[in-house]
Amino acid sequence: MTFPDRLLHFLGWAGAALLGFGVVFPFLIGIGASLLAPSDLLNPNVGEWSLHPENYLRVFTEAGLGAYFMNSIIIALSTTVGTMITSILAAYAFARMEFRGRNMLFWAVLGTLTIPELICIIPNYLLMAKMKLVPSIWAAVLPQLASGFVTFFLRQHFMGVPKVYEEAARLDGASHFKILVDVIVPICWAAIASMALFAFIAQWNSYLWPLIVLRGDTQTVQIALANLQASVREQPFTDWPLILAASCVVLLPSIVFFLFAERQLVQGAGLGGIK
Amino acid sequence: MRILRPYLYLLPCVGLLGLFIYWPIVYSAWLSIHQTNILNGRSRYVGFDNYLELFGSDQFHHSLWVTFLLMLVSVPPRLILALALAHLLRESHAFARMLRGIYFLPYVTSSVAISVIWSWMFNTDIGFINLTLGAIGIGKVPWLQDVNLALVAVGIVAIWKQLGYDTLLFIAGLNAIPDDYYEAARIDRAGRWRRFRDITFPLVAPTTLFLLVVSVIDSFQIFTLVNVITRGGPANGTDVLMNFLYYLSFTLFDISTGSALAVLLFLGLVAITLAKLAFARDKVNYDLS
Repeated sequence: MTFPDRLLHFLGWAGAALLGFGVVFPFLIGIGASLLAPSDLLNPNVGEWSLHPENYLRVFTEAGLGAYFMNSIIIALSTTVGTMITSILAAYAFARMEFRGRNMLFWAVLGTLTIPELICIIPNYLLMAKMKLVPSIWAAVLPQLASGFVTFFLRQHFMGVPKVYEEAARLDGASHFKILVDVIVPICWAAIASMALFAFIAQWNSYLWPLIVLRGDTQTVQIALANLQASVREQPFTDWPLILAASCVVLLPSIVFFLFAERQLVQGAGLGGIK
Repeated sequence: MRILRPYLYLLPCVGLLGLFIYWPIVYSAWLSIHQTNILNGRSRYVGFDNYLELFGSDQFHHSLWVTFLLMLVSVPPRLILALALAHLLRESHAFARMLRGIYFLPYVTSSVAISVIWSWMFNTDIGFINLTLGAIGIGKVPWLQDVNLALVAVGIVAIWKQLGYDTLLFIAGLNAIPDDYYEAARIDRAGRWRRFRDITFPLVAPTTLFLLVVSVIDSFQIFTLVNVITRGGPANGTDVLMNFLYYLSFTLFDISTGSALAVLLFLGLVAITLAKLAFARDKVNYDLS
């Protein structure tokens, strides 16, 4: 490399590193400010600041977010379990069974990936309201029990399982269901687990649909957090550290997920060419 | 029984997708040409009245404009920045891997929680950004109170959230270009800019087009950031189409006009997707040989 090339390269990396710091900065400053007293945020004299880790306790006591956390966990867990069951069954049928209309049905499942949520909101709301499920956790769960993406992803993995593994079982007279549970699922366990994590986090982070069908006690923690923030919008002397502590707690599951799944999410992406 | 078995495996998945994703398209279309009273459930056929009402409403034009502006301030910077970053971060050493992870982090985190953190950072009196600007002698900037600045603020958060995803896809696109092309170019003494213009740029065009379409489609659907950071304000300055749709349907409970808007948006997004397919076939070089 010539000198100008080297210099350009170095400057590029310095810029990328600086920007990278900028990207994590909101998380860091958010955590930092969540540990202070409200008055510290207005006080430029750093020496007078004090540490208040009890802000994190106050998220559950004073702001009462505990019940909403439970709602979020229940909704995310039940949608994840439901999605995995429906997707595994469908993925197996697409990967291992011959039947009329298979291609058409597969394209129909794949087609759901391109359909924006916005077209479904009003009809699904009316349907849930008609079934007298608004507001209830059922309304948040029912429309989320199937996923075209998870089905597609698992089908690709199931197709990769060599047929010899199941032939022995079939000679013993094993049913499709037994082959699925005893052969396919154990072999594809890593793919299933990563999709389950993915489904859980997607549900945990979701906002618009729960906002529409949940009220009061049934709300998720995302809605409760948005409400907490809205209640103090643009009032300068509010308890921002408490609100930021609540944000950090809400962020925690997705950050843990990220640390777990970072390899699959990020590092693998550069290898396969998306063209 | 044997013949029915595959369909039994598919029924839960396909049935739910049909009921909650495909049926709503039909039902929305029906709702959009009827006037429905949400209290007693009665519906009356009105033809295209709901659409005409929408076209005549200033708020619809305004929301369309605001959505377009938000797209304009967030999508091009994201794509340009991501392509530049991808050139560096495609390298395989530990530092590049770490940065790839860092850039991607916002993409998987809760939009509500990050919006809350950013709305504190943008807070005029107490936010980190203004405190820093104050320290270097710049007066208070009313980020979320000024109509134009609020849109820029939301745009910054949108860029911040999506940048890592775009970068990853660009890395994949760059890695798919065979090294031979660059070697040949080097032998021909093609400079850095020539190599970018004549090799990299045309060959990442499919990725660029894909990201452009996905970003445009996504930015049509921005809701959470706007709902949490600005609630569509100030003075409707960030009242994007999804915010308007939410307001029509679930604040006013005017589901007829709401459905007309949803159908229009849906058709717009379908048109963009189809245009991409048609364009990709003619203009973009997918195949090297």
